[in-house]
Amino acid sequence: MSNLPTTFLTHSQRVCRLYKALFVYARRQHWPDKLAYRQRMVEYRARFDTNKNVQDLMKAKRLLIAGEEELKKAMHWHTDNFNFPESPYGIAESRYPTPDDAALDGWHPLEKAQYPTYFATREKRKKAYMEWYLKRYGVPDPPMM
Amino acid sequence: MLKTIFRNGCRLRPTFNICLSTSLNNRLHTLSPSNTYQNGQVWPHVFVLRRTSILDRHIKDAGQMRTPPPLTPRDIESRVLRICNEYDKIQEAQKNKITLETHFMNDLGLDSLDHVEIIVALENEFGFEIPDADYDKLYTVKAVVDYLKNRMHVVERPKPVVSSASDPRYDEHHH
Repeated sequence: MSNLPTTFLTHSQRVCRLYKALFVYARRQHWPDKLAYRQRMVEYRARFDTNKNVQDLMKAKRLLIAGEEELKKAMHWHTDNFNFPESPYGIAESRYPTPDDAALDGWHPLEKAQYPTYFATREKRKKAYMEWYLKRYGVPDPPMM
Repeated sequence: MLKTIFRNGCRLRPTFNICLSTSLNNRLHTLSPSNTYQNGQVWPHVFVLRRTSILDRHIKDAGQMRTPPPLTPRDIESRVLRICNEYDKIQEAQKNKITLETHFMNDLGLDSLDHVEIIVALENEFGFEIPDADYDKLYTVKAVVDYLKNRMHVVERPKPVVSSASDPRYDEHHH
């Protein structure tokens, strides 16, 4: 979604995006060989640097589009995206969820007694919320089984 | 004779097993032979030994697996600075005096592709993707650190004393 063109991209921004997409491509091609991956990236960098000083914007744009087409053709048969492990669709997504706040209600009274201020405020807030709920929505129905 | 041994084998074995000590200390107070299970059931010693050794291993592993201490802004700063210092062009230029206010383009003379390389190195270090729209603004080390702190929800808070802490959710021990 973040790659949808919602803004106008300048030429240099497009070049940067192409270069970053090439990182993904090279990693896919050479994984897990990191040395080959770095070698490939150095080669790509050299290709970018040969055209660094092109002053003709039309020529620069043609080169950029040619590069994007080349990447598109090369990425064509890579169907799966690479996702970082803890990112959405990664292999460790939501592996360590944040414990629910209601877990604090299950504490032993002796444990709760170690934090008297916090639990006093918590009880007060819970009571206020229940009052607000009753005032707003009325007595709730019993849960369906 | 052989038939008798076969028949009594299972019953004879527990008498030897008393000599072999279990490795779990919590068995000591039960005053029962090691192969007697909690509900009075008698198990073959091989099963008991295997079970206790597995339990021991689990207890040992559980001691190793602790929740790591929460990230602080200092950690993020040091990691970002390390990534920047390890980058080839910064090392070649002998510009290791990077501070938080260092600007990649103006102070270090890098171009935008070098900037992209640093961003990719940061992604690999921290394990999440930095979207294209975001890294256009991250030209100083401080901007990068602030962005990462914001993204990883890292907040600096004073370390509470356990007994007098006002809010137990900020303690480390109940994770």
